Amino acid sequence: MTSQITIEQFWLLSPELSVVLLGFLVLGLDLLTKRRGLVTAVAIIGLAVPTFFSISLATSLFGPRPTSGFFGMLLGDQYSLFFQFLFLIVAFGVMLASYGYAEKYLRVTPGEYYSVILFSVAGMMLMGSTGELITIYIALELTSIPLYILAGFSRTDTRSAEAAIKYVLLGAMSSAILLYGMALTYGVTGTTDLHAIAAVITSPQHGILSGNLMLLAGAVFMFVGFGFKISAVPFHMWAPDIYEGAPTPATLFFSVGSKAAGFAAIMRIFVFGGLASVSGNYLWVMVAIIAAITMTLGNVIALLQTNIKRMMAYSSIGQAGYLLVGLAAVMIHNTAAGILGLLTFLAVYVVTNIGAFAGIIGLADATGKENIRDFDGLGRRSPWIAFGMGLCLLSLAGIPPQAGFMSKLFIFFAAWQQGSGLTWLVVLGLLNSAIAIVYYVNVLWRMFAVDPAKRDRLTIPGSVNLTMTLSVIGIIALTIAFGVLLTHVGTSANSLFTLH
Amino acid sequence: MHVDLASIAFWVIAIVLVGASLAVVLQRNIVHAALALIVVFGAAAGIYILLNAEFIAIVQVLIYAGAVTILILFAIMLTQHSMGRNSNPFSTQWWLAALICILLGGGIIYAVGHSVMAIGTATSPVLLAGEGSGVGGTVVRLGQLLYSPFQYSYVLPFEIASVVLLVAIVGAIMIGREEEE
Amino acid sequence: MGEMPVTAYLIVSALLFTIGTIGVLVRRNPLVMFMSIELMLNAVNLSFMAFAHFLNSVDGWMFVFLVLTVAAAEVVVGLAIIVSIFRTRRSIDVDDLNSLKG
Repeated sequence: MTSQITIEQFWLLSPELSVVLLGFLVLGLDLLTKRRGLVTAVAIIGLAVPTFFSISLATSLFGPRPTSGFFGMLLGDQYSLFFQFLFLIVAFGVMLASYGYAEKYLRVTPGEYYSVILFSVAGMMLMGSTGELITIYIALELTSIPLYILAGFSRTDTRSAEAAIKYVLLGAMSSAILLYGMALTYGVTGTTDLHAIAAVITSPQHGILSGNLMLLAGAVFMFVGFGFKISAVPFHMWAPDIYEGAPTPATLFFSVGSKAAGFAAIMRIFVFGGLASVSGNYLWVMVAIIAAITMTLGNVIALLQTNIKRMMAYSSIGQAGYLLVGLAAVMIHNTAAGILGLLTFLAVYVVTNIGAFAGIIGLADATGKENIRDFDGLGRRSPWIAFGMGLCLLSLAGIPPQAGFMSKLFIFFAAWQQGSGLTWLVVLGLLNSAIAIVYYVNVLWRMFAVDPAKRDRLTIPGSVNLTMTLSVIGIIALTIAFGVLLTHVGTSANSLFTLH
Repeated sequence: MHVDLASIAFWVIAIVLVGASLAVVLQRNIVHAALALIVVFGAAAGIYILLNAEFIAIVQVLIYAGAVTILILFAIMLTQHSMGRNSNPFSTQWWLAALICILLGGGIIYAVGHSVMAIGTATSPVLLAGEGSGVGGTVVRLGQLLYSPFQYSYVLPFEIASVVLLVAIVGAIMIGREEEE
Repeated sequence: MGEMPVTAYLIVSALLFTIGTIGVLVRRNPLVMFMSIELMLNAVNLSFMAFAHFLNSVDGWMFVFLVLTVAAAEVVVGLAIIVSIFRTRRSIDVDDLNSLKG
């Protein structure tokens, strides 16, 4: 840890910094021009700058990459880089998919809309790359406050305002719980620096920490705080309402961004910070039980939904359950295999969910409807969107040989390897995957086998078509080059352990 | 037990604090609840003074007792029709929630009483009662800890917090302003 | 000064946190729920201050300082949303918000 701030450390911060600056630029551009196309183009093409900085860090373009900066609060490991790229993809997908929709249904200027998304993305990137509890909390707030605003964006729609108010109240409560957990952890370990916390926990003479109730309470509260963000049962109540009530592109952002950021921070705190490895606290049992309830409840209730956004909400709760299975596997023996599964799953989930939501946004944009029965005959009304969305849904359902199947297999395999403690969870996970196929295939069946009420061709905006095309290419690329993904993710997963 | 002035002050403030916070939660009249909240903030500031943190106590009074409660009172003025008894109802399943929370609170108190604390050493072990705590000493130290580039400081979260404030301003304007045609 | 054991401060903080949580879960008026969240945040700050005193370090002060700032920002956005919903609905009871089912 260097004792003062140097120029290299700003290089380490440059991806996040340039995203924030891009947000300022887009916000300011509103004053100069009324042309939506220009502002959107600047916001999307401007992402090339943070992408360049991330690549320069990944390839050590300007010399060796610093391992940490700002007194250990910013970390430059492979894990941070993985999430930087992931969130840049999220930002790109969300902004591209929302271009047409934002123009039609949202009464805000494009600069405001895109800048809020960019600020949130900066917060998400920081959640993956900070190594200090308070910084993680503030990064979380930088992520969440824009999400509250996005949930309430279509100001004339009462549903949107209701969704926003519930989201703010539950979000604020969850961050208070998270903070209490941080306070207790600080009290026991005397520091909030994750590196130092890990040192306290793993040093041999501190066996007294075994069974320390306050540390356990701190860890549980932090998990609960993030449990809201990743919509784990029983903290999932907000998700279906927010998903349905919020503008559809914002829903896409919640489903991929909030979840991935939550998992990024959880793994950072519990694995890198060593809280999962305190002996005698059976955190993994809690995580395993929550995982079981989360995936079962999510998948079963998804079967009953008539609104596609509510269905996707419960589906994403189910997906969070699978991710928690991976987390339980990580926590039981602190192995990199579970993290590998989790990161791979997240990467695939982000790309497929962007595709699936591009389909929903396309339909909502063209017809203003978002019920599952409105997908009747989409195969004829808009073949490309129907094909792409079908592919994404099959990947989400985990149908082989798609990337979604393989990444889920990795998670279950990691859990299976941990021995008898998690075997039941894997079996339950497989049962759940079977249930999930029903509601995903139902949408597919409606798109291709049911006759539509109207046979007119839909006019899908070009940006949605482009998003769909890119995510289809992404899924196919991930499926074919799954081995390449695994190698890169593998180094990211290991980097959570190597700094110790 | 040795009784001194600080202990008496602590117990008085603690009772006021807990009593006022119960009033916030239980008051049926929402304006009374907001006024009780001011008392809570003030009592918390009192505890900070007992902990030798005068600066934080002043900040607490300025931001919480001053700014936040004024904001809440304004929101009440803008949204409540009547200040009557029905302005502030209870949930129907209040007893279940209350039971869970009381168990939770009991658990925390038990954990606090039965755990070893402060095992590691503080990242910046300076000093509430040590050498730097003369007049202005802790405030100077706080300033350094906030944004000094040359020694351990929380400059990164401080800068992120400034972006958070900006986002909140932009967002509040976007949500709060009237629809323009 | 400050001869009380740290546990006493922590118990007060835990009580405050519990009361705040009860408030959020039990009350149905968003403004009261917001006030209860403020109670929870104050409980957290109290814990941080108690630990800082106990550890003889000003780190805890820093956290309180930052939490105060960021929580105030959260309040601003929350109240803006509450006022805006009132404009469209003329009622802000959470249980009345039932065009979305739970």
